[in-house]
Amino acid sequence: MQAFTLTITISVDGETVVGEVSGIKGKRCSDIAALLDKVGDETEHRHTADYDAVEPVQINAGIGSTLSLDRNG
Amino acid sequence: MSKYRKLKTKFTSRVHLREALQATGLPFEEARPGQALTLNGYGGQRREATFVVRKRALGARYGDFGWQWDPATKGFTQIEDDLDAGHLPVQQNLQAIKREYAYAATVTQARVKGYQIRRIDLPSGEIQIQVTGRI
Repeated sequence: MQAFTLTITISVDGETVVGEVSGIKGKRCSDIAALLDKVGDETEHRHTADYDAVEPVQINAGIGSTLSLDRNG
Repeated sequence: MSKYRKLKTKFTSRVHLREALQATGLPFEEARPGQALTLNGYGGQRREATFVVRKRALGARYGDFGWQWDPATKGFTQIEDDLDAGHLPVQQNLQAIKREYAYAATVTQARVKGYQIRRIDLPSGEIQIQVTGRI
């Protein structure tokens, strides 16, 4: 599980909505950014280096213990 | 930051448009499903709309304002009298409606997912929303 923050700014005239996702590595940030889908038509989008970063994975290492590491070890 | 999106607000949801009008506190009328309300314009012109804000409530001088569903664009089209378009109180109210629509459209999905939402009304007039959670 990764903690995220989605910061949304609605312009004074209400015409433009900008959303920025932070705290998430990998392509799951698109799931968060999708919260804006109902606002209207997308005019711009871009990814940062975090988008291409590896997502952390969790491995259940036994009873009561969880080992977290990223995909490339 | 891992992703940046910019969108242009479009009125596509009747529910969110209703929520936006309620949030502004402007008195409005909403037609029943399958029906339409009469919108009165300058010189006795009449049109039909799903939502109507009467001109006095909006600060308009010449006609009522409304929103009518347009199947071609799959959105609500704003109906206004051209004579009122540049009038400042009208523009301020219309901007507030659009801001609240964008807010409603944004937070509804976040609420469904159980995320935490914090709204900040900035001195500039912008609305900032912080959605936090875990995924």
